[in-house]
Amino acid sequence: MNKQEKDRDFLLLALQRLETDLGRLIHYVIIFFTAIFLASIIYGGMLGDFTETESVGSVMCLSCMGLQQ
Amino acid sequence: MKERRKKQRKRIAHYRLGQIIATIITLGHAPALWTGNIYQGPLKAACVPILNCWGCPLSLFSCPIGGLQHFFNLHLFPFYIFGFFGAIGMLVGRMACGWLCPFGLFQDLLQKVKTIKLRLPYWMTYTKYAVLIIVAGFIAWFTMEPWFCKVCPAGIIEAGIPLVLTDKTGDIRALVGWLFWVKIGILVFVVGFSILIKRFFCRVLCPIGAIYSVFNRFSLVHLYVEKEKCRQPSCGYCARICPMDINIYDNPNQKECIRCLECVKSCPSVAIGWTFQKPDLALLRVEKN
Repeated sequence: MNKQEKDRDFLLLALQRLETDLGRLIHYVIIFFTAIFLASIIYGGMLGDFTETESVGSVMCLSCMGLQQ
Repeated sequence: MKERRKKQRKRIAHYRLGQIIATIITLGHAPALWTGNIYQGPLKAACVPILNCWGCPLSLFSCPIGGLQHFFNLHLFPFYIFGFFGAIGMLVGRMACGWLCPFGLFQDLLQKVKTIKLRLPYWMTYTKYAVLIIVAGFIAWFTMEPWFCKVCPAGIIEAGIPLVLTDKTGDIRALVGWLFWVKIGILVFVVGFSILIKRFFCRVLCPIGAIYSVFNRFSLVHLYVEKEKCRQPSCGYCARICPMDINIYDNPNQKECIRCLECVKSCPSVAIGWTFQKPDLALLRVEKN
């Protein structure tokens, strides 16, 4: 195996390691952002977003259906 | 191969069953059929991850894009809706569009009409971001009115038309104004183009699709193509059966993919798969030979 082939193999190995590490990192990033979004839902619930959504969803908005009151 | 394709054509796609079940559940307020009254229980606090008009008497859940606009109308940040869209997008990307959306099912059925079919120019898929930002965002914020709801074709089909048609006293029919006819016009426009172009509304106008499409590249559920097994370009079966008219071979996680997994089920070479493992890092893919 000449020096050029050795260098090529080394480079491939390094890239494969990088791919594995980045794959792991991106998993952590996904988990981190999912946690942020879930926290946002909980915080919204604490602020009364669920109650607000329930009350607005329980009213038939006639103007949204093009019906003029 | 022909046998396999015949079987594929005969079976009902799994995502179609998902769409039917989701339609039955989301529009499951059966008492409305004889009382005509809207559901007002605690389930309305929960949004479904799809377009679902909450003004429809049959609707059990809330519409997330209606909720988003409502909070914008009040000049409040929609923490709940923001988190809801983000969590769904991060986990499954646009999968809800493929497996749950009743309006998606409606468009898929319209595609079955035998007529000439057109391909959508790719640049038109960016229009939905303008609809999201301008109509459901800025206009809702500044006019304090949910303007996307006022033009939503799903709203007129699920709520507007049934209410007017089932009106026994004539009170509701008397309220029909110009906006109702504008909505009917938009519905006719969307139906017409959905017959000609696969999932026209989802690709061009849907603000929920616009939100989820941003997450498609990074979501936990993603597709991959084993290019060594694939027989492109001679086969191209995945591109033909795709309900979004995309070529999965070029980019399995492109923003328009609704993760219906029909290509995964139907690929004659079993070259397409889906996984929860790390998202596709195409830029770093090392060619081993």
